[in-house]
Amino acid sequence: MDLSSATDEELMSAYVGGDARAHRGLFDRLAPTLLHLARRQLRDPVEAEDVVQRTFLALHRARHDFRPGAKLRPWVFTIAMNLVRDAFRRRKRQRETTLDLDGRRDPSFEPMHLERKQDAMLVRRAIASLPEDQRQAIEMHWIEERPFAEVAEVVGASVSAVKVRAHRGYKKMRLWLETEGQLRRT
Amino acid sequence: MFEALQRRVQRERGPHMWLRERPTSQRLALLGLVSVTSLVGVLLWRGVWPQLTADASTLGLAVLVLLLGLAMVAALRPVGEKHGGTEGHGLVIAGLLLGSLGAVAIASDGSWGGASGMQCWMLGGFVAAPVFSTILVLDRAPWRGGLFGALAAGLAGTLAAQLVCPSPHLGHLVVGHYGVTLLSIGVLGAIAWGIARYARTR
Repeated sequence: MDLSSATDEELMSAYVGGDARAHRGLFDRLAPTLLHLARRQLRDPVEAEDVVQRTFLALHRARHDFRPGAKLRPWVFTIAMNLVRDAFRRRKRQRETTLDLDGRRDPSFEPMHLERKQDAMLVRRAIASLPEDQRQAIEMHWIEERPFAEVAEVVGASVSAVKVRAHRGYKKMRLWLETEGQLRRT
Repeated sequence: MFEALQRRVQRERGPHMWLRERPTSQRLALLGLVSVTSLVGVLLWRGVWPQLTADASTLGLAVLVLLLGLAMVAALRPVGEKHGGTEGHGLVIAGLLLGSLGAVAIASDGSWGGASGMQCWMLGGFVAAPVFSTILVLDRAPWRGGLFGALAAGLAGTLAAQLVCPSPHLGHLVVGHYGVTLLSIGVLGAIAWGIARYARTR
């Protein structure tokens, strides 16, 4: 099997069949994204690496549960997100996220002038103030540029529900930023 | 990082690991088999065979069987499904506890009687222990399955007590039969928690 041209699902099926190369191929393909996701959430590189390892260990243990025809990435990312949530529960603290502010924006969100560091911090705090489901939807769709369909599969909700969460999140962010801006002017 | 992962995967060998890696449907079937075998074993040991009639106590047994099944599914739930979160898990556990209390109490004749239960605790324990042990063997992520596993084991023990013990007194049913579930959550839950903490440090 040509690993470079195989789909994630083909690699997983080969891995379930005992192909060690396919296991390596899956790891090389998915680990960087998972590590990036975990680092963004946990802000601790050591803990993020541990989450990635535990994700692949869980994948190894559960490989015979993989259903042919199912999508692999939502399954793997759900495992990773569950482990990230558990890491937070153990830490018992509010998480913050770092943003990669490169000017991307959602059509429903009015453009902000993000050149100034203070504005970037405000947006970060605005996102951190959102309920978990809205924050998750905005981070995955806006910052990580995942399509709504993929976000919906990972979080286990319908596409319309994820769109509603993102829309409500952007509205709250706008309100929060407007309020914060007025407070700063007074 | 892949080399470190490989080392961890290489350690996952042996019959225990083989069982744990079975598809969830097979793991549930095995757990069901152990539960049924334990229950039948206790019935044969006590020389009791329950006469099921269309009454409230039979309904209670049916509800207990259903709740036991739900607890087992929760205990061995695949990792790739989104968590309900602590609140979601709490609601499920509360529902299972309240439902099983109702299923036990419905078999009462209305009298309180004596609130004793040592013999039924021991009887329930004989069934709860193998069910819990099987869950520990089959569970892939102890930290998640620990409490649900303890609850499932307790419900199996309570079911055994309901099947074997003929007492209709509410006090005995609650303390002696339902008490098996509560004791399991406390004792077996603590064991599962300790195992999960140890597993996380490896």
